[in-house]
Amino acid sequence: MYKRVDILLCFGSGCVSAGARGIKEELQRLVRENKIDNEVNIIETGCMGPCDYGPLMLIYPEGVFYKKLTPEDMKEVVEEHLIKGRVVERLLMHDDTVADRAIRNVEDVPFYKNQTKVALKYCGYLNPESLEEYVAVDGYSALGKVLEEMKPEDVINEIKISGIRGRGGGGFPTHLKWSFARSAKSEDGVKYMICNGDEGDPGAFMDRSLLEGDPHRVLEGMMIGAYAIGASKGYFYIRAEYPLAIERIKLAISKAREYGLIGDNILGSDFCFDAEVRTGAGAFVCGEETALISSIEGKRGHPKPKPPFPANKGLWDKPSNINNVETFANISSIILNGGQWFASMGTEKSKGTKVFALTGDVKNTGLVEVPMGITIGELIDNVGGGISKGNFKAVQLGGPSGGCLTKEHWDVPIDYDSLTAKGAMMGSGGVIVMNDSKCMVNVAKFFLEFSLEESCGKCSPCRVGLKHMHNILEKITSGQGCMEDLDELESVGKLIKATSLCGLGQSAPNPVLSTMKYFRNEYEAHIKDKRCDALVCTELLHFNINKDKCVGCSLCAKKCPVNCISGSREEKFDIAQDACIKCGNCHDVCPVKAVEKLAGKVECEEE
Amino acid sequence: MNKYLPEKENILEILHLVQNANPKNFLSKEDLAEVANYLHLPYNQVYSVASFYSMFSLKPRGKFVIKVCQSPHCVVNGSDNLLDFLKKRVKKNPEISLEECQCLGVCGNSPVVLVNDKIYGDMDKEKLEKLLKNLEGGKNVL
Repeated sequence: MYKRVDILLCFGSGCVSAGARGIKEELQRLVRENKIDNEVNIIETGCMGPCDYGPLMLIYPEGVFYKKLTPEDMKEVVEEHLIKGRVVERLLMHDDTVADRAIRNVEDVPFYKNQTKVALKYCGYLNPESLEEYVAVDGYSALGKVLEEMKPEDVINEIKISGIRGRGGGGFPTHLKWSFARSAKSEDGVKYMICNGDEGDPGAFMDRSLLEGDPHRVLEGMMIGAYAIGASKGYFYIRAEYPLAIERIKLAISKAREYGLIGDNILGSDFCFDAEVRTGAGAFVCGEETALISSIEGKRGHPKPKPPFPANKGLWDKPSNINNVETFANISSIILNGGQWFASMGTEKSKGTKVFALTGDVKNTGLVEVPMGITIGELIDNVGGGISKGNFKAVQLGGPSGGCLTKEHWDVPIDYDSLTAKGAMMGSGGVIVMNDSKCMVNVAKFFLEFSLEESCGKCSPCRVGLKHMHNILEKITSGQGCMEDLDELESVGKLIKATSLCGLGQSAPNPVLSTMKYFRNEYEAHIKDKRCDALVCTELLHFNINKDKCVGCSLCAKKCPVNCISGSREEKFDIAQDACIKCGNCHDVCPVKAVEKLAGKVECEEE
Repeated sequence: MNKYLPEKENILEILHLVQNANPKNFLSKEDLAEVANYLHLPYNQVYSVASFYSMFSLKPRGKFVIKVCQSPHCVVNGSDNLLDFLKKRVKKNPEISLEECQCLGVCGNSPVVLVNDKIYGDMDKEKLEKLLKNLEGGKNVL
């Protein structure tokens, strides 16, 4: 029903986790109380993008964008904005480049200005639970076009022209995958189309956002793919950590079934298709396609050696095709606008746009979509709004399979091949920006710990090799390392890459190898000088009380769990270095910041 | 269980259901035997699946399971401190279990904790304390 005001409330997991539900309840209550509920539409949408400003609200027709809302703010929004028509200035976003300029219209938000949205186009503007809203923005018209005007070969050809490559990280050309699955012979004619929504990379959340924010787009993409390869059954495999995504895609499927968009003879054609959702149960390795297939079959999620490839022998040994959520989300736009249009964006070998989950020490964190080929610097500065605090040190691309790049790579274009050449990886698109307070050895250890934890244990290079690498890193970060360890790390890392069974193992050493390449001096400082200049590795730092600053309040001594601080108001205080466990309590509680955290291992200097 | 057909491919969904129905929030031997019986599978196959996936627990847990994300982004923003805090804080309460988990995909609002099926973002000690008080009162809200 048409109403005077549309209030779009971001209900992506980010905003929900920050309290969007409470805001909606309060807003609904106030709208009823002020008797304007017949004038106001309150709509839940998918992720709007700038997650750290959440919970977010977008009010139309004006296009006013409010950030960081609390239930207490709702009274003002209702009384001022909705009733009196006055924008609540203090809840607006501000443009740092122009002093104190509040941004009144969502179109002026710098975060959105430098983006090009294809997959995310309507994510955050639609009610993801409504099929009608999706249809209103040309939803399912690509499916209609395909079924009415195009043969499966034409579809694959259009995808070939578009040049789209798999968005899950590997970057394999989608049209090739589809044509393999199309030409694969199946005795009983059964083929499967699978959507990989097992997004486990730490720092990546675009698949979740797409499934939550625009589930019909993903479903439509899958159906077009299924038509192209000749499949009549689809599976969405989604990790159980994403309950909202599971709920929304299930709802999308049942709505589509209700409207006859799924089922037999879809839109009057010969094409029959049905889809089901399968939930994971917490195993990173299931993002690997053969492991994912095992998991759908109800087995442990162990990968299998390839060949045979899933295109020939996949789910229940039938020809199967697996694509990432984001790949599917691009398909309908390619069909409607033509492959040429898609190929006009991006670089020679990486076409179109890519969604990145921008996190870390940047001003604007969240979900962004930019054309392929944008440089690392442009992504961080123009879209991310620059470094939030400190100086830029490194950027981690591709999660536990990717690597760290440095300042010298500021102008490297982000596309599949350039990143791989530099030792990083597109991965699923997680971008973690790090400032100079991060210790790269520790970061590498961290990612390795993740892969170690998630290794399924089937093949020994990954199971044993990663453990070995981790032990060496433990040694280095605790100040016990020697220079030979670096050679050992490198040779074991290369061995694991060469001999592991699946993609997880083959890429797991990347974070270590890439940091060793670009931050070798840091590794050497840990080994030779026993120093961690970023002040992260506790074994390689010490605390000291600056007597000039100390006011003798004794707070540090009171908070010390091992009673290694002694002194008096006159004498000031001192830390007994040999007993100190470096918990940092004294540093945190000191009211005058007299407790200094210093790099290097110290053998009781003061004595 | 009979929401799902007795086919092996439904095992993960069924195990999720059975675990949620168990008052101790885990899969007991009896639960696994029942699932095996329903799916006409040997017990060891059900056990092998249940023991592989990290979301299934073979040990009893509390009514509320708090999972603290230990992926890089959350840790950088202090989730390891939250974990230490929680370790001390929830020790005595049998109704609340504490687990570590990997990325929950809400990195823009880190650090993040998950309580059963509810995600709480931008956490700090004050918010956690409030959340724990509510959990102790039997409510999973902040």
